[in-house]
Amino acid sequence: MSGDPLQDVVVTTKLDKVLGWARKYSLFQYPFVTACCGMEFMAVSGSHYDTDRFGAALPRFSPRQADLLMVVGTITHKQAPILKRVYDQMCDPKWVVAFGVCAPSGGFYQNYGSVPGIDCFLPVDMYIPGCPPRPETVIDALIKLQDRIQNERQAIV
Amino acid sequence: MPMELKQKYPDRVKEADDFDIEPMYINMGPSHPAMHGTVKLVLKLDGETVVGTEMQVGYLHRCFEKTVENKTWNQAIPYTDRLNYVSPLINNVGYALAVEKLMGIETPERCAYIRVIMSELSRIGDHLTCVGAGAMELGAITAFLYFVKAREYTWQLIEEVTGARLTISYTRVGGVIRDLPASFEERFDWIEKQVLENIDEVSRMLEKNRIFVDRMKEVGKMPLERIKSYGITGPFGRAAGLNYDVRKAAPYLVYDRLNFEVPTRTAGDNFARYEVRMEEVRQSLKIIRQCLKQMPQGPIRSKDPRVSLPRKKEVYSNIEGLMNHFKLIMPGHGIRPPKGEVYGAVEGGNGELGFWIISDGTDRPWRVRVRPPCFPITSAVEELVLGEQLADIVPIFGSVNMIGGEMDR
Amino acid sequence: MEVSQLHTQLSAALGDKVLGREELTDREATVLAPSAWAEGVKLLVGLGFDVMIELGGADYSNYPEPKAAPLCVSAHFYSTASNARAWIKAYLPLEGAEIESLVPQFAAANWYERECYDMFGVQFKNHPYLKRLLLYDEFVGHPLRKDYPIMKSQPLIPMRSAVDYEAVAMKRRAEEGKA
Repeated sequence: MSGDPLQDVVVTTKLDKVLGWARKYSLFQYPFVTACCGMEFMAVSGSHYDTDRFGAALPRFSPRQADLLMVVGTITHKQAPILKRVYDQMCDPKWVVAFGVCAPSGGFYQNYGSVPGIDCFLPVDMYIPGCPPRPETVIDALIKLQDRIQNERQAIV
Repeated sequence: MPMELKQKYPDRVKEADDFDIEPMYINMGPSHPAMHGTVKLVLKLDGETVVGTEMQVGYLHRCFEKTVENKTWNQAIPYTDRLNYVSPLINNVGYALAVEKLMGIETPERCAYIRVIMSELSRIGDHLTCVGAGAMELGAITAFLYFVKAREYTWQLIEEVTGARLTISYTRVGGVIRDLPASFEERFDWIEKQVLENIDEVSRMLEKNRIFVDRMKEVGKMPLERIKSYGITGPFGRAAGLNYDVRKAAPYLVYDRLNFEVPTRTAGDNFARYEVRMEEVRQSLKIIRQCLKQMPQGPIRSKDPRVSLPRKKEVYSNIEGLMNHFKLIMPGHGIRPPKGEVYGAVEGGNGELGFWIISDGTDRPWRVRVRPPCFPITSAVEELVLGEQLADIVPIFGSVNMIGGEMDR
Repeated sequence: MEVSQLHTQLSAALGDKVLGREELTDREATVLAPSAWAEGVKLLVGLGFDVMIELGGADYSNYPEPKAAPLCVSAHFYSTASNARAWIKAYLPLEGAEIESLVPQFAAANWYERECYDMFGVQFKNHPYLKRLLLYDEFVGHPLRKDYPIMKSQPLIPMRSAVDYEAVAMKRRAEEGKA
C-alpha cells in the first residue's frame, strides 16, 4: 500500500525519553513511615484512591531494591542518621518525596527534637504539603513526579 | 544436638556440643515494615528463638509536653490530635474534658452526645486499622484492603462532620466547633451496614483460616498478674481478663446512660485480643445508634464567658460583649483556668488515656502530661517476645497496636 | 475505700514521713518524704492497689504557689477490687534528685522511671537499667525542666540551616533590578 509500511509499527524517539518512560511507570517506593501521615499513605495505597494504577504501588522494604524514598511523617534528630543511611544505601537513579508538612519543613513542631525539614540533610525532589495531605494531592504529586522523571536526563548507571 | 540423636550416637555427643555457638544480634527496625512506625527491637537470637530483647523507642519524640507549655489552652488541641493519630477525636475529647474539669465548666448535653459519637467513630477506625495491619503482616493483604475501605467510609463521615479526615481538632475547651450535619443519621445508617458487612466478611475469612488461627492462638500469652504489674489497660488487658474500662469504671460524658458491653476474654493471647477488638467495633456501632436516638437538640458550646466567645451582635452592641471578646482573644488573656491540677482519663483505643494537667492561672498550661495507653504495653513486649520464635514477633507486635505518636509523644 | 481513710492509714504506718495532703482540683494526693517512697507504695499494695497507672514528673520552679521543692514525682495507683485510685507525690531538689525505684514492686515503673530520668534528671536508686528512653544517649540536658530552652536542638548528623527563601528571592530581585 502507499506510505511507509513501518509507520504504525516503529516509534522513533530519544533514549532519554524511553528510559524516562520506563522509570516513571515502575516506581518502587520505600515508605519510610514514621507518623500520622502514614495513615494517609495507607489510605492512598488502598483501594479507594489507588496508587497501583500509576505503577507505584509495590513497596520494597529494602533500600537496595527501591528507587523512590517516600519520607512520610516527622523526622526527629534520633531518626535522622537512620534516614540518611537508608538514603545512602539506595542505588541511583533515586528520587525523594517529602510527604506531609513535617518532612519538608518540620510542620508545627519547632522544638529540640524534630528536624526542621529533611532538606537539611537530603536532596528532595517533590514536596507534598498537607497535614496530612489529601490523597488527591498525593496522586497529583505522583503525576508531577512522573512528568519530571520523563523529562530529565537519564544517566545510564 | 537433639535428644534422639544423642541417645543413638552417645560417642558423638561431646564432638557436636563442642561447637562454639554464639547468639546472633539483629535489629528489627527503626525502619521496618512490620514495626508500625519507628521502634527498634534489638534481638538476641539463638537460631530462631529469641533469648534476649531490648526495645528502644523515642524515634518519634516530638516534644508534645514541652511544646504545649508554650501554647495557649486551645492551641494545644491540634497537638493532641497527633498523639494517637488513628483515633484523634478521643485525644481531643480527653484533653478538653480534663481542662473543663479544671475550670469547672459543664458542657451542654448535645455536645456530650456528639463527643461520644465522634469518639466511638474514631475507635472503630482505630480497631480496624490495628486488625487490618496485623492481618496484612501475616499475609492476609485482602483483610487489610477491606478494612481500609471500611475505614475510608468512617473517615468520609468524619470529614462531613468536622471538615478533615485525620487531624480534625474538633473539640475546644467548652464544646465542639460545629454541629452534626442534617444528613448524619442517614449516612450513618449506610455506613453501619457497610462496616458490619465488612467485618463479618473478614471475620469469616480470618477465623476459618487455619494459618491465621495457628499463628494467633497460644502466641503472645500474658498472664493476668503480669498485666496488672505492667499497668496495662484497654483491649490488651481485657483479653487477659482485666475487666477495666474507663467508660464503665469512671463514666464520663454520657456513657452511664448507654447500654453496651465491654468484651473480655481470659486467654490473653493474640487471638483473644483480635476477638476483643472486633467485638468492640460492634459495640461502638451500637453506642452510636443509641446516642442518635437519645440525643436532644440544643447548643453545642457552653455559654460560660470564660471560654466561649460571645455572639457578634453582642460584641458590636454592648460593652460586656466587647470586653468578653477582648479578654478571650488578646494574648496574655484568653482562657485562664484557676491554679490547680487535675487528672482526666478517657478510654482510648488502647486503654486509659490520661491527661495530668497543671495550671498556674495564666493562659498557657504549666504542665500537660499524657499517660499513654500503649506505653506500658510496649514495655511489656520485651517480656512477651522472650522465648518465642522470630516469626511470632510480627503478630505479637501487630496486636500490641503501638502508636508512635502516643508512645513517644 | 475512701481516699481520706487512705491518708490516715498511711500516716499511721509511716508517721512523720507523710508530709501532708494536697487538695487538688478533683482529688487528694498524699505527699510522702522521698525516703519513704518505696515503703509507702508497699503499704498501698497491701491495701489492695494492684495496678500502677502512671508515674510522672513535674518541674515547679517559679510556680506561683511555693512548693516544698522544685521537682515533683507523682504516682497513681488503681485498685481493681474496690475501683479506687490513690495518688502519692514526692518533692525533690533540682540538684541531686534521688528517689527509690519502684521496679521491684511494679514492672510498669521500669519505663516510667526511665522517662522521668530522661526528661527531668531524677535518679532512681536500684533501677536495673536507668538509661535515656525517649531521647538519644548523646543528648545533654533534661528537656522538660523549665530552664531548658525549647529550641535548643542537638543534631546527630550535620545539618544545613533552613534556607530563608524570601530573603534569597528579594536579594535576587534587587540584583536584577540593578542589572
